[in-house]
Amino acid sequence: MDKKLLILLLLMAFAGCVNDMSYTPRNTEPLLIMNSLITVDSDEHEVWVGVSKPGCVDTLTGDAAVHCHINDHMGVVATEKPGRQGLRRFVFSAPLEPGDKLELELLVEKKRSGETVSKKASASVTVPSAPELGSIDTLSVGDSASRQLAFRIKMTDSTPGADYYSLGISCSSQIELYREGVLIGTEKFVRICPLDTGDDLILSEDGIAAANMDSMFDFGTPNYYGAFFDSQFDCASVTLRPKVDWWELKSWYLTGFVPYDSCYVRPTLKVELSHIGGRHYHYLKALNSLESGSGDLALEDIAVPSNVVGGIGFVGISNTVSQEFSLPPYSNTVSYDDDPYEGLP
Amino acid sequence: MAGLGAFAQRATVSGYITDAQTGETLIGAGVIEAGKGAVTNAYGFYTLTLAKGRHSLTFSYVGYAEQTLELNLQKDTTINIHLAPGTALKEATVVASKDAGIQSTKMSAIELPMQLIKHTPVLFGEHDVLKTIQLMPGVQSGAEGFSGIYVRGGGPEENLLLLDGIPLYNAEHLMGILSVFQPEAVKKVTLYKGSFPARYGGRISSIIDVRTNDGNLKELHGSVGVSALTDKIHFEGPIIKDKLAFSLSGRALHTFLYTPLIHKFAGTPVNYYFYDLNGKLAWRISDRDRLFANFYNGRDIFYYKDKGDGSDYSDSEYDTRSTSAAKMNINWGNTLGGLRWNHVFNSKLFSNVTLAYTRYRMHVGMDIMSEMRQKDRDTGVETRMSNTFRFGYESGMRDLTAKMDFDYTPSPEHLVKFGAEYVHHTFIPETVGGYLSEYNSGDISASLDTTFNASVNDIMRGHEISLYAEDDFTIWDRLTLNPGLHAAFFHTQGTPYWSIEPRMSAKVDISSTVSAKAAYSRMAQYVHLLSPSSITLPTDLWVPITDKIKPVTSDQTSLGIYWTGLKGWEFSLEGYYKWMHNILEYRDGTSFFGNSANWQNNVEMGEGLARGVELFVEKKTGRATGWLGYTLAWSDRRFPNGSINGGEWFPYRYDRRHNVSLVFNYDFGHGLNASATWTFASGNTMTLPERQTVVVTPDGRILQQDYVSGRNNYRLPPSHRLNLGLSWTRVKRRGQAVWDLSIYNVYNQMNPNFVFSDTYAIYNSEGQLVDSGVKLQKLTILPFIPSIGWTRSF
Repeated sequence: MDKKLLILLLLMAFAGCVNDMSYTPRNTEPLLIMNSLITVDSDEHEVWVGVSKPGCVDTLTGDAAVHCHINDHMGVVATEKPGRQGLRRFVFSAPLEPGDKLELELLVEKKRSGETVSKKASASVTVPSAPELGSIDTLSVGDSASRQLAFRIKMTDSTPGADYYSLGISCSSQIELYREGVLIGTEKFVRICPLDTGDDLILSEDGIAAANMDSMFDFGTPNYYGAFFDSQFDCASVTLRPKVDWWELKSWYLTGFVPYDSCYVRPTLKVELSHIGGRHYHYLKALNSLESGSGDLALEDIAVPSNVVGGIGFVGISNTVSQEFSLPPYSNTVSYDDDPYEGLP
Repeated sequence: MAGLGAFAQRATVSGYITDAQTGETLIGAGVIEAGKGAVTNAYGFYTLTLAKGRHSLTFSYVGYAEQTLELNLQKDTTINIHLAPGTALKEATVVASKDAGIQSTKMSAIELPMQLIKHTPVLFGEHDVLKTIQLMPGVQSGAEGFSGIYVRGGGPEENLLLLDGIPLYNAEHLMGILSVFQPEAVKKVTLYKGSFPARYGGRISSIIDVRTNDGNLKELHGSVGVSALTDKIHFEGPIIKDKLAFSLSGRALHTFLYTPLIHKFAGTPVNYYFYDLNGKLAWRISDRDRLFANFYNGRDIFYYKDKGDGSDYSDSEYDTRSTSAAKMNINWGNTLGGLRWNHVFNSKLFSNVTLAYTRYRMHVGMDIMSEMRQKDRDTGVETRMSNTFRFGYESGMRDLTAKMDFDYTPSPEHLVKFGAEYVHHTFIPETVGGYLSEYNSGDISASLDTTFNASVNDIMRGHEISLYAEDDFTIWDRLTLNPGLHAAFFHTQGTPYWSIEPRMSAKVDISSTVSAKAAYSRMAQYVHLLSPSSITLPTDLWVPITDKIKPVTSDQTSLGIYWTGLKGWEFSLEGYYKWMHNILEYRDGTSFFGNSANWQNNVEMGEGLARGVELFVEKKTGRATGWLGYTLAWSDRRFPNGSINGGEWFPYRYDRRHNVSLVFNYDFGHGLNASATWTFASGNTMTLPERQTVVVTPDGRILQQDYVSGRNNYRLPPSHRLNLGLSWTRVKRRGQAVWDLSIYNVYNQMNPNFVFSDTYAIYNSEGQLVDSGVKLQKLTILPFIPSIGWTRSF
């Protein structure tokens, strides 16, 4: 008896271990997903819909329609087009003016056991005013190994209260491909350049740039989507000072193999400033955190803002102005170790 | 003139009340005469003003025999009283303490005698001050079984832990399994969680004031003890009898037992240990002057030490020999020292001057060396190549404090306390230094010698000046008030901050057994702890407020009703409502690690609201003693700018709705004492993905993601456990031997210490979804744990 008792005591003493726990979330029912990021001056606006389940995202089945209401009036019914990644895609076109209230309504009807079951999810947003983008200057800085293009972007915040913005810099490369001096094709490649916001007090208000690796212990949270707000310049003008990596800016690749031996590239820079809503700003920040922290097990789960009533997802709208300017064209010659034309006609 | 005449007819009796056997001052001992009374302060000093004439003074203290003194008081008189220890079971004449307890004007202030702490069942045979405090209503632990203290919805960094009046910044060993307070060195512990005396400031949720033994002035005593984890030693005695005493205590993890086990089972030359060292000198210069010097040093040390085998190998041309060595040392802990001078100006004015130094330091040291010698077989020429890399990382903080406290008793109806304090803070968030050396005797030009230093954050300094005044006075027999004001000024990095903190508490005696109290306290805090996890990590960083990060403040209102109608029992019911402003929280998406640089950008300031009701029923006398504590509480947070939880209210991580603690102690006599504690706590909250969703990025990508509806969106199941303890004291020819037997978590409840989550989706062979969901797993590290401890005192 004593021996059995001793064994029992020892077993209990070393019982500390990992065990499964029951998990009882408040809602396990499938939920409609509706996502759309609308830019006012786009010709066509996309709405992505699906179904959220506890462990996966499923394709929405049944009859689905997306209605667009502008200022509480029926605007248009979106047209369904081919989707991707298991999501259904609806597109619509609508003229939108600052101050307009836009409501997207997803209606789903499904037959189940002979009965028609309806579900509805909706989200409404207000079109923001156009931002005021001023002059833009650039300067190439750094040595050849770590060259950056530094920007001085002037903008003005003219409405009192909290205003939210996002800044994007992209480079569109128009590429002409030559073989033995003959033009064999053209391609266009658009690269969205990650911003180095390390020197900018406004753009880096949520962290330091990805490129700023000076710190041994903090690589910072990069501001991938250039989201910022006017806490430091409410109703005032300000100069934003982001930088982009020169080599990354100019880099491009072809969608398929083209046996060229030289190319002529005309890069065009595009600076876009978008006026967005507060929830849109937090949505971009959450995306930023998700992308910068992917794989970090110590990262606490991030709540991505949802503004969809009757489902989950995010509908955001931005009013964007942009400026484009050409960079000096350049040409490259390709030298192959092996003959690239070998085996080709 | 009549009033002046009345004053002229009064005289004051004052002095120290001490233990007759040890000379130790007794804190909170009472002196009473015809219904008027006074209690000794934190230094054992009392003062009582009475009408001139004959009086019968009764001096008392729980656990000591009362002493009555007949006195013909004609002028201010000093009387030092030595009380002899009596039976602890007898109820002493109770004099209302001014600071804590059900009889005091203050509410939500609890005194914990060491006897109580020593009779609470323990983990690993270690009596623990903080774990006993966790059993009080309104207080809860963070992670199950750890020493973290969360008071009335506040965080662990919001508690001011004082060791003889000097702040301690990290009070935990073994990542929080044990606290640093060694029971042998501790005399008394007082917890304030609601109405804060004006003399305290700097934290918003609680004050834990730990006072240590002064040392035995009569004869040498000591004890040695062994428990499952540590070895302990304590000595105290006179250096000059009745004049100068010392007290010395030490405790250390008995690493000599564990080192071979770790080496054998872990297969790696690592080890860990901690130690505490407490020392105190108490010098009674005269009846008017006393001088104290105290010292504490405690550290946790983790180290790794390995050496290459110096293997030989040969090829055709060279004889080659290589050696390598690597050492790593991570250590962290507190060093604290203080000088105190008590001076009695006159029978009505007592002063205490303190000079103190406290430091928390975390240090990482690394030393890697490799060497290779090659000897050419033909020429005999030897080439030596060596690499040395030394790396040091340090973070921490230190305070230099000077303060003066005065107790002034102009009349029996008033006890005025006032004083001033200056603290010079130095924050060393993170500094790195290193040395890299490469040497090649065959090619001197390839050798290098580099020293580097870097500071991730700048060293920051802060100057804190505070002034306070409070008066505990009786308006009429049934009403006492304690108004107070604490004013603080903090200056850091060119930015000054002021805070005016009014404090008020009032007590009304509705009848001889029923009383009611109300209190309001405003508190301000100028330092923050960057601690992203629920347990204490050595990497946690104390940082000051900055020009961006404002001081944390709280406004707390409490109401309570108290009943002492049943002899030996006390009942209290208190409610509180606490607003917290500028509290910090890590922003969504901030990683737990590597977030100290630019920390201001990773945190958000917001507000907190905590409210609750606390029931406390205590049986204080008799063979059976104990208490029932129950707390019904809510604690929520909101960060209006929207970067956390979209700006909506969400429950605090340790928002536990119900907390129950039941403590039972029974003295069988003949040195046998049994105890039991049962605790129950609603589950805390955590952030969990509830389902899967997709997000669309501005550049048109579609990403599948976990969907989290909000911060702390899931409540874990409740945890509960029963601990049992048995203490057997055997009187020996010289001293006594105490055996402590404890069983932690008797019914082996698998309470989660840590919880992990993961999502899963199961598809069949045709690619159709069969099952999906979120899976939770818990890690329980404190199951059924029996332990034994032995202490021999002499």
